[in-house]
Amino acid sequence: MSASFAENAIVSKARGLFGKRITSEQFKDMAKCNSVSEVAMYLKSQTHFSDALSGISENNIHRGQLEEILRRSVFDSYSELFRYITDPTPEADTLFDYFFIEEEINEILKMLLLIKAGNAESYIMELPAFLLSKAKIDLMQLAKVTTYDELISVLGESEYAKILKRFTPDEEHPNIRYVACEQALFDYYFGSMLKMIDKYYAGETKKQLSEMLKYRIELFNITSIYRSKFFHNASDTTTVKRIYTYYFKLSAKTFDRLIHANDKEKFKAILSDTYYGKRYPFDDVEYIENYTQRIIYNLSKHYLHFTINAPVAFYAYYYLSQIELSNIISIIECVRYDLSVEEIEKLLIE
Amino acid sequence: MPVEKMSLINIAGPIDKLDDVILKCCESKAFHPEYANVGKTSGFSALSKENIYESRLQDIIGLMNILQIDPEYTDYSNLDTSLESIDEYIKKTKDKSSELIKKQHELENSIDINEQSLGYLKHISGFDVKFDDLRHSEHSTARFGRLPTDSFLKLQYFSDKTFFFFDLDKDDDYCWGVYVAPNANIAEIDDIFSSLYFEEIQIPENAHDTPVVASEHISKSIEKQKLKLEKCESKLEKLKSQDTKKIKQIHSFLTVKSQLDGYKKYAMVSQSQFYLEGFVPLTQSDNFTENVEKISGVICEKQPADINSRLTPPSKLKTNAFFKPFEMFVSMYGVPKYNELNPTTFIGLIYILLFGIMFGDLGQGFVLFLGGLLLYKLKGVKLAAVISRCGISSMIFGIAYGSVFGIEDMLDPMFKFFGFAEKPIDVFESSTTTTLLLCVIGLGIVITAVSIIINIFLKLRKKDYENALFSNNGIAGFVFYVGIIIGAVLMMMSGINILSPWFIIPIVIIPVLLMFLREPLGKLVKKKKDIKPKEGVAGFIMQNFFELFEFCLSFVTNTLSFLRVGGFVLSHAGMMAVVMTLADMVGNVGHIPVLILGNIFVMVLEGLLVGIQSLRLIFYETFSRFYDGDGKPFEPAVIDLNKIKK
Repeated sequence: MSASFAENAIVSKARGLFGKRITSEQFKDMAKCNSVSEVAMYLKSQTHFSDALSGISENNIHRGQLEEILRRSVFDSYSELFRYITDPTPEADTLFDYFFIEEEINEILKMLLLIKAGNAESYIMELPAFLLSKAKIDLMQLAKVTTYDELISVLGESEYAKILKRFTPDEEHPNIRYVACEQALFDYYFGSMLKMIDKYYAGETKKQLSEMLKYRIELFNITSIYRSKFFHNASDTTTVKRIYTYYFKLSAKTFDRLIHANDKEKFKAILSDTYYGKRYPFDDVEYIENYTQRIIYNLSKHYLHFTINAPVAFYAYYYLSQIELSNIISIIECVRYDLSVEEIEKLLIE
Repeated sequence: MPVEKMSLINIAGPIDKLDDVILKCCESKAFHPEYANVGKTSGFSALSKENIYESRLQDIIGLMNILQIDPEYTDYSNLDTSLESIDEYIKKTKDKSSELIKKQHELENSIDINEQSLGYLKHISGFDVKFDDLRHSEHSTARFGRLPTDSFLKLQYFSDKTFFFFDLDKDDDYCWGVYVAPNANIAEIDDIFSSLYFEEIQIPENAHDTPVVASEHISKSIEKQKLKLEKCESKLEKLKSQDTKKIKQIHSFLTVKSQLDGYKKYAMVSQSQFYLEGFVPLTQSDNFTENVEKISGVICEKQPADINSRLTPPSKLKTNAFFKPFEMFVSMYGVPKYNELNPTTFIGLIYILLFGIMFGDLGQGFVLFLGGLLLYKLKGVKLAAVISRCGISSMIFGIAYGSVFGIEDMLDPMFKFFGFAEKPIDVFESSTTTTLLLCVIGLGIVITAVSIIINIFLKLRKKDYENALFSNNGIAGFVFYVGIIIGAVLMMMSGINILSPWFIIPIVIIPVLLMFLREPLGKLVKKKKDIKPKEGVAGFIMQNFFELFEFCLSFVTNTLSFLRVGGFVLSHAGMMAVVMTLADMVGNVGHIPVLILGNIFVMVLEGLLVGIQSLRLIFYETFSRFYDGDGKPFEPAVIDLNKIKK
């Protein structure tokens, strides 16, 4: 009985938090700002980030500091929500722990890129300090690595190290295979999360959590294919290796057709005939990420609105808040580079 | 029901007497100025002088804003009103007050800065080294400031670098402290801390000792500054209190003069003479001319109002005392033309009647009457005069409904005394509802018919035969409307079958045809030769068909619009029934308070609604039938003392 009361409370809380989200009008107002300071001032005075930003001096704040405060604030909202969710996974990582797993993977990949660029010492500036005490890997030691081998050494006996060892540069592959590492790490992430959901959740909760993750994977695949083919001009063979083999609304055959599409128009035609294309018209061929993220946004909103299960509400809120954060960061970057309001609005996901 | 008769007044005199003449005109409150026109060859031209008082008025208003003096009319008879002395005084006072204000702001800013420094020093009070020692250090440099808490966690990454960071204070977001590095490495360490978003705080120049001692010095400095600020503010207060009266006098003088100067635009001037013309009510014209001619050299001539075809006389409504407050409704719609009907009494009568019917309650009506009367007498609120008259009507209808503050049986003994078994009109009786609705429809029919009759009369007087005879508000419309009503009543009440040619032809067909052909018929009556419609026969038929449809529809809608009167009777009674129910529910203790509050609520809400609806019925259903309201309002030249209060 008390568990169901707690569940209802968490679902309501998640909806309440989402209700305070930054609106489309507010994003447009922020897009009109002329500097990072003005964006900070706006966020401090007009949005739910006012508490988190209460101590800052808007006139002096740096972009990196602002983004870090915002990320910390979003993280705090997750821990506030998840605190009351009954843990069905006593022997395994919880849903909340997977937030950290994904963040750890992102930090490892960030470091890999910097090692590849020969700029590993700049990682410390980008390191999110709020993860230092929460992550299972020693991020401070991670910040000190300068080579691939040192990276694997810092990762110790973790699954990440086992995965990355397979891609250690050698004579055949002297350079760091970043794409392969990313592919493998996220494959591990998606696989283990799906297993966790399958093992420890049941009924509607299990169904909805799996659906949300599978939507994300599938849309990630669509983005990967599009970027690989039309941005990186990769071959079909290379593109195939970039997708995660978890099929949900699209069959393997459909993915095969997408991979073998000769041009953007063909790709658009095939996609328009799919589950996603029929519900969400794919008009703008330039920003595929915007398209797929918008689908995730709408699906998450749908789940948050209709679910009665706390873990599902939490997970939906997680996606939605990450997209909101991504919008804010986009605006900050665009304001720094003096993009026009119209160009900024094209990048927003709503 | 007239509009006040006017006289056209021409005033001429030496140009140096123009100001005196204008002042006399304003003091009389009876002179409506018109733009003078004496012909191009006369040597006169319009006076296009700049208002010399306007800029000075703005200056004194600026001074009053600085000193926060509220404007108020003050007698300036003992004031030196020469412009030179006024200019000199304004400048002197402005300079004095500006200096004090500037000093006040400087002190306030300085206090703010010192308090901010004090705030910073509090965070680093744990640092037991003198600031001067740090400033004079030869080999190292110290930086005070704050580091975000997240960045503080990252400091361990730079443990191999040559610096010390002393954290002196912490809150949720920041860690306050100082880092010290050798001069040789300070640039590198500055870069590191900058990348960690370190915000340096400049230590005040007057902080020499340790933070604790420096805080004490700065606190003492703040105290001294606050004393100086107090002295400065009291000097300002003294200046204000000493000069308030004179400033208000100058403001009053300049406001009056500026307004008087504003009227000069109506005059025409030559090198030595001025000419002014306008309208004065006939009853006041003799007195007016006598007063103006007291100014030496000035001639004032009185003429009939319509002597000059270029000038349209303004309309000043003349109404008896009881209905005079309703002039504001007529003015709201538009005043009648000169020599046209003043509809105020007619409107007042309808308004009072409708209001009373919809708001019938003896007790509430009495409150409205008394409240309106007091408000009008004490505060001069014009609407209050309307309310008090409506209150009387409400009281009368309240007696008829037997309702006193919503108590429906309080007047029963009175009715029994007069031989009634029960009160004659019980709003809550189902049979009363139908009767009530029929009666208000009947009232609406009467009002509409009377409005049409008034229109016929007015249009005949103006020799506008098209409107008087053939329009929907003329004889044709009247016959059609009243004829159908009478026919319907006869059919329903007496069973007489009116659907015979003897009825339909003269009552329906002929009036409809007349309305349809009103334009060419109107031209025929005026003996005009060209009666062919400009838009062609087909266009004429199309246009007039739809207009005819609109006429018929408007008869129906205008009549049915009066049903709202019945609706409001029922809603008023219904709302009071709710109040009574609530009063009964709360028991003995709360009965009276609920009753009082409920009555107040209903009086305010229903009073507002009923007032608006009555006005709506007058404007849309009544005025639209006969009244144009395109006259020129009588606006005498006056000195508006209200402008001084703003």
